[in-house]
Amino acid sequence: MSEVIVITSGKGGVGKTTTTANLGCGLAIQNQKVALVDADIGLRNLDVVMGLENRIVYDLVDVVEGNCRLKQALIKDKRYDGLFLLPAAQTRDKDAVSPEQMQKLCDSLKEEGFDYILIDCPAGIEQGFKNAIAGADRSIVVTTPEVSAVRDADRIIGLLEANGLNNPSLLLNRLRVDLVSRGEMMNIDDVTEILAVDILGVVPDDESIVIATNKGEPAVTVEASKAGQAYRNIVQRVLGNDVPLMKLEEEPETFFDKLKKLFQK
Amino acid sequence: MNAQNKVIFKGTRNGVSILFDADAPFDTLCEQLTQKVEEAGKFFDDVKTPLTFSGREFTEEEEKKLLEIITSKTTMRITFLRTSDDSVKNLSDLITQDMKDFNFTKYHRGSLRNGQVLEFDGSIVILGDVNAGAEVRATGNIIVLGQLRGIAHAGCKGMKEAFLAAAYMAPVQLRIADIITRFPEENKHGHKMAEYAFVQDGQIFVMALA
Amino acid sequence: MDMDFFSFFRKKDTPPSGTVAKDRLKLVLIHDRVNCSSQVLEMLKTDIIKVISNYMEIDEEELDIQITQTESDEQAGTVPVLYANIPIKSMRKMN
Repeated sequence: MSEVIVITSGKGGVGKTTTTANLGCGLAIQNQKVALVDADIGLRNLDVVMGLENRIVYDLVDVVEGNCRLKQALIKDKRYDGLFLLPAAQTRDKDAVSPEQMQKLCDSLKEEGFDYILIDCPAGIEQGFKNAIAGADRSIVVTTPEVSAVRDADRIIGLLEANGLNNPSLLLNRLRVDLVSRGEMMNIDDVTEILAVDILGVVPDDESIVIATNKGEPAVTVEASKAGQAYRNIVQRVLGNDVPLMKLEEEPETFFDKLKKLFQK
Repeated sequence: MNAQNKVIFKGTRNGVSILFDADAPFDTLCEQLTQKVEEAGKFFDDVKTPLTFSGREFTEEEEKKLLEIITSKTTMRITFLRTSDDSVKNLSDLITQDMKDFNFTKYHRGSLRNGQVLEFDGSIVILGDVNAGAEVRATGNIIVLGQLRGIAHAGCKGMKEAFLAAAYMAPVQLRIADIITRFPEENKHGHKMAEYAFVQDGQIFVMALA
Repeated sequence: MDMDFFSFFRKKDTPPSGTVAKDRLKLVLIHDRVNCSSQVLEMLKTDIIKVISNYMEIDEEELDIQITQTESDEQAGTVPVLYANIPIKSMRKMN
């Protein structure tokens, strides 16, 4: 059984690519065979987030246009055996591919025996979005707790449902625990109440994401990372396991913690 | 056609036509053509005319040789060449074919950014940077007088003798002919000299341009 | 110092920005979802007043018309509804 999951958001910069990379790595750690497809033709980034940018020879458009075989374009990850990346073309634009071609591509990937095919959708609701969702069985909508991102997420959920992708799951990204506790940021309940969809997980705003992305190593692989732990939980939920939402409240600092910090400086 | 006269010049409405004997050896034809052109002296000088070869079929090599004879002895300006099968050949095509061995060079002023591609049948010199995500493809050599951080593909139609040089080389990949290598990460930092890359024993080597 | 002094008082009756965000979003989304601009809503309002005024005298000041959400009977989740609260001053005599 293989499943095509599209990761989308509407608004740009909320963490689609980071999510795709982390879910992909996380699933591969769980011994799943995973293909990551960068559908953001012309603005590819999944390759740098994965740290595979210098291995690209062929890309998605080459496969679709028949310049190479699918297997030639799939880049094997340097860390995990079952993980592959199909990079986007950088020198073309979204019109280079049609939804029908994407559908066919997803079917061929399924035939290759992948358990999960994750599609990193470009921002926006135009051609790129239509291409990205064409072959998908399921969708994950990424948003941050900001009015603009949630509004766009709502629009995207509507469009997904109109295209037969019902019950998308929501990933709430970059939640600032400190702001939420002061009431200065919308919390999980606020967002799920407004969007009325199932929550797949919450990822706290975490500097380890920035550090991991800089290095081209998804945070899910970093044991100590809070965001990494959040992604590991989300991976379990994607696999169908019931894992409670992570406790995000920070433990109040004890006197000893403060003392320890003082000495660490 | 009489035995001695194996090459006959004719003036037609469509310009000058040269009738060649169908059976004579090619060298004889060359000799006679040379002789005739010399005899004509200044007659053909500065005449702008289409030229027709008829009477027999020539290979491209032979055609070139005959043209050379005409152009070396006169200043006749041939606008185009017609062969017996009436196919019109643009003379500039013939010249281009000839010149290719010497490689045309394209000079590009300005930097190439992410997503831009510069492709040329010949060599390329870039007066600027090639950023990550940009691509330069040349059938000949590539010289970047700036930082090379994208992908450069020299000899992209298979010429292994092609080289690739940059004032600062830190590309994502280097490609020469059908060989692709990743550029070592540790060589992408700090001050360094201009470098060039070439193929030896099926491998790409990078050396400092001393 | 002055600024801080006043903001200390203001803080008590203004809701935290998270709540403000949520309320604003709700309103925006309601309009997005039914594809109804405030301009259209305003036109709807005047039309409703016009029709109802034929039959009864209404309190235009207290009139409240908005599009909100309600729990759907058929499908899970919410559906948009047109909510109107129109206080009647008196019925007009019909001849």
